[in-house]
Amino acid sequence: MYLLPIIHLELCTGCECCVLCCPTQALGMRDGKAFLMYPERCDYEARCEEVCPVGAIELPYRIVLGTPGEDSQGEKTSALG
Amino acid sequence: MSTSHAERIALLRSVPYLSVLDEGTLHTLAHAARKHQYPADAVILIEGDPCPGLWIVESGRVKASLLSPSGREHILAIYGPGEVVNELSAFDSALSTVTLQTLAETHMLVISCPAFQTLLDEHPEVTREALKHLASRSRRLVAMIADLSLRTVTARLAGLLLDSIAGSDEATMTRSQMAARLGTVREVVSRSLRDLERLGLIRIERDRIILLKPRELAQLAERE
Repeated sequence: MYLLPIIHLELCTGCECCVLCCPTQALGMRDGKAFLMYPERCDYEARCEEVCPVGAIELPYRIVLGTPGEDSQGEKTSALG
Repeated sequence: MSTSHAERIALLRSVPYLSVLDEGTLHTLAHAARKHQYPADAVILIEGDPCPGLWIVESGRVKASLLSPSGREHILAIYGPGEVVNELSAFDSALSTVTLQTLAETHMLVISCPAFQTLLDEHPEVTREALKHLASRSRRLVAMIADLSLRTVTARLAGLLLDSIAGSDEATMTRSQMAARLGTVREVVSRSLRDLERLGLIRIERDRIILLKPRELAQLAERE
């Protein structure tokens, strides 16, 4: 199961910066606050977290140990912009 | 969550310097201790607040941190069951040097400052053990200063990632939380994560940070 961005509603000022910059339009507004309207669209680009002026959005990461041989997998582009 | 008297005594005994007390004194202390319950994310003490006493975590987790005037946070420690919180102020009744916030619903026993200080006066064996404990804590703080002033963020991040999964299969952290643990800001953590990825020590896949080369990460954490 994927993790999803955490929106701290008590911090959100409703500026909509995250909604406007989300490349997959996963975010929307509800009652004047940011809201993850389409979680299935979220691809964890982290732009919402980076653009939020008040730190109201955070992306949690699962830290895990790689399995032996995993480091030899093909190169992948970092998920962090 | 209710705690029986026997459970209170067991909790008090889990504190190294209280474990040297005899059964009768532990019994009296357990009677005198008050039970406090806090919801998750509650700020229970702010830097500069007066000392309410010695807190012993029964269940839940408590974060001790320093906040800069601009709101930047540096997490000093996260306490769990059986650990003591707000210890320094309990020794000298001075104002708190840290801000405390619960990370989950938390139950704690509190021994008031006067009761704790009377205990120290009347039981030199507790004072001796407490001094040993404070000495070890001072060493940890010196190590933390050395860490902050002498090692790069990337090296410290390598250590933090490894420490986070010590004793468990996985951990979950946001970049802001990593920054708060390392005394830096999220942007610097992002850059350091990319550095570690470029070095082939980790891989970031969507919501996972995979530690590919723990031995090399440990070497980096130690070296710089």
